[in-house]
Amino acid sequence: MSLYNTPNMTGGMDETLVEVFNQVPSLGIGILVFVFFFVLITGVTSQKRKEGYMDVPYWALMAAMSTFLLSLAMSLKSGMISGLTLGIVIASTLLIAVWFFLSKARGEV
Amino acid sequence: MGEIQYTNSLIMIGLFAIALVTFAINFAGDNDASISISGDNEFNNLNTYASGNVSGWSQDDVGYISSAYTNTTASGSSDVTEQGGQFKKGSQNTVNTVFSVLNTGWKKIFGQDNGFGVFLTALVSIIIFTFIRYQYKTWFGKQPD
Repeated sequence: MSLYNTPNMTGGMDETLVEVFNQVPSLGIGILVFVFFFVLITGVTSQKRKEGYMDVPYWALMAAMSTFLLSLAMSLKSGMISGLTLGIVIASTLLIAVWFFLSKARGEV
Repeated sequence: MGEIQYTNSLIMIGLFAIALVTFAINFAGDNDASISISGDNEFNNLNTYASGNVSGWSQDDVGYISSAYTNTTASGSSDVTEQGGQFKKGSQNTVNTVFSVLNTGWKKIFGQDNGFGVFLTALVSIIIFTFIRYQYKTWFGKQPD
């Protein structure tokens, strides 16, 4: 007995993706979380290695923006992302932006 | 954080919120996206509220921050000039030039959407506000933030 129903590949890439997302409902959210933490962790660690300090609010905002753009692309076709998830991504991006703009040190405008 | 940094941070937060939400709504509208936040009450209210807040800043000379500053006088002394004219001239015109350049570029990329018009006006206004605060403190011999 197979774990998943294999997707129907005859409808084009978009339809295939939607069927994959229907079989694994957490895939869309998992991809967004992966992109967010990938950008955050790689940015923070590479900055620490090169500059000696890590600007976490900045990289969190970069990660949030990447996730936001990816979620917008996923929202084009019905079935990949829900409206609730898109709203949560946007709200998270706004909150991270608040953190970023209030984290400026003396001398930075 | 200094006063200027704090004020700038708050305004930037408002501008960022307006830009992000407007971009998401317009993206969905332009591409006939299946999922859109255009019908979402919370984001529409946020957009309206933030736009109303930041549009209180203005580069117009009637009854706003810039006219309050340009009409300010101080008691003249050896260290402070009465009108402060040497500090007041030039910066607003410079920023208005920048505004024209940005406005043209913005219209080409984003069209005539009113949401981005608010963004641009508010961004230029906060730049003018920052100039005014620096000039005011310099006029009175204080260290600007």
